Amino acid sequence: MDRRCTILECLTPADRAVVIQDGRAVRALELQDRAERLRCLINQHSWQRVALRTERADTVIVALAASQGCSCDVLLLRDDYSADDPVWSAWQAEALLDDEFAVRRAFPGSKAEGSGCVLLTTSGTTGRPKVAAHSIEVLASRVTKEKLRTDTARWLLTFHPASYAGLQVILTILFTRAELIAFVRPNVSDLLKAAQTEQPTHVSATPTFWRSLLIASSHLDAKMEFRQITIGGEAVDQSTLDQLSRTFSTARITHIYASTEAGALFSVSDKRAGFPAAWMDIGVEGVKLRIREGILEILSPRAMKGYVGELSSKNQADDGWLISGDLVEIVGDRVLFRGRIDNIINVGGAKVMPEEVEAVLLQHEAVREAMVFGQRNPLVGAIVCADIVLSPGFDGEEVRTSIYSHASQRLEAHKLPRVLRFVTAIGTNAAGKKVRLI
Amino acid sequence: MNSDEIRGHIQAIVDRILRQKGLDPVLLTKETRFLGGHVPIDSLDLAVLLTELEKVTGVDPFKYGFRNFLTVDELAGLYMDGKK
Repeated sequence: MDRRCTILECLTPADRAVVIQDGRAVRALELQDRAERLRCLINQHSWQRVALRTERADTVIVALAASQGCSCDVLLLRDDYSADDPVWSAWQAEALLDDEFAVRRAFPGSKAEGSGCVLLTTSGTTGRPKVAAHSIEVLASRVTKEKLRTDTARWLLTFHPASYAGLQVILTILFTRAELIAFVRPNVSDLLKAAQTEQPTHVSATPTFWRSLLIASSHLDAKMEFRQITIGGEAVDQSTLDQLSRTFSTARITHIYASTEAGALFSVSDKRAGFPAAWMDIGVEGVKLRIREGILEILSPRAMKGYVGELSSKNQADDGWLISGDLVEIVGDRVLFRGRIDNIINVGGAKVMPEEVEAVLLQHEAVREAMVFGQRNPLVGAIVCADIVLSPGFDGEEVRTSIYSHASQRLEAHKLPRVLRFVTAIGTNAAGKKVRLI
Repeated sequence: MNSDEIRGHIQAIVDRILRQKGLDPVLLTKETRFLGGHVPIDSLDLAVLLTELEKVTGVDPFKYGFRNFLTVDELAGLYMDGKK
């Protein structure tokens, strides 16, 4: 890939279908024209920071192309905020645009000084999201290191186009001249259908999505042939990697470690959970790693420039390293992810990582998906509960004892899920991550 | 819900907990002690019992802090008190 290539230059040749957006081929020329229109609008108003609320990948591409090289920041929003919401004074956008670039709201008092950044909201589940500022060049730097491929890759977008993970997929298809299949607000069923009918060759999705696809694929007629399976957004466990590897034996399987704040850090392609412990010493892809109090900390050349509208950050150590919030443990030659520090369940003073319990449950042949959560309890503070989606052909009441026994042989008593509920699906948020019950 | 009904729920929930553990059901009496007696449950199983009882009775006797109990009858009594 030529590093000097701009987003606009990626939109060639003019008749190339760049995105199949909700079934309609959006060609490069149309995206170029829309980008020019947006750029004129920004110049006309001398905007320094403009917010764009969109669910569409084609609109995000247009926004990236228009903002690159101009001094206006583009804030990509996944949610609606009312006019009097305090987020607007924190974020200092001068206008809110829709997909047609109509001004939905104007905030004439805003005093932002734009620097041509893409501003992304974090996918936190509680409170006001934070906004991370990135330059397009840094956002794309990991993508542009890959060689330009002019093959016939078709990527299926499972992430929200205005999320960090979604942008990584979008930038990849732009710089590799691949094609993107995208839908507005797709649910898992829509995406599973698209995975069969649209014949994507490359799919990037959360482990939760991949497990849903494995559940569905066991009773699907259409054969899915993926060349690339990318896993991100949540830590992936060995059972999921093994099942994907068995089901899609010819696919390259990669899991990516990234966050909105730290950027895309590294990828792992040896089909083993976690990452090589040697990277703690020698670094990887320009990223330095260390463990403090069990939490992975990162120094990344692809980190955000900073938060917008936040006075201080709990996510940053005094010396500038980013505190990931991911609990890790070195086991042999591997660093394994043990869960998010904010997901910890406190059972009578003992800490339980839901992800660790989920990984054990997923080893059982009857368990296809599991979500572990804490339920408030007067006796012990919280008890560990699990919602379980069963593999086809299993009956909950028949396997309840077997699953419990499997878990009790592998987990300490306080980590053992005492309440097992059998459900048909696990809820996911717009980022495709499990919606954790707190 | 009277005391007998609450004890019925306690029996049913304990049966479920024991079945999940692969154990045979144990007949509870009013005097049966939950921990340290002949019912093979630990404190976390007992914690589950409280959570499940709150669900079926709609009563949370521990809303304002923990209240001690040893036997089936004492626990049932807390849920009766909680309704008042």
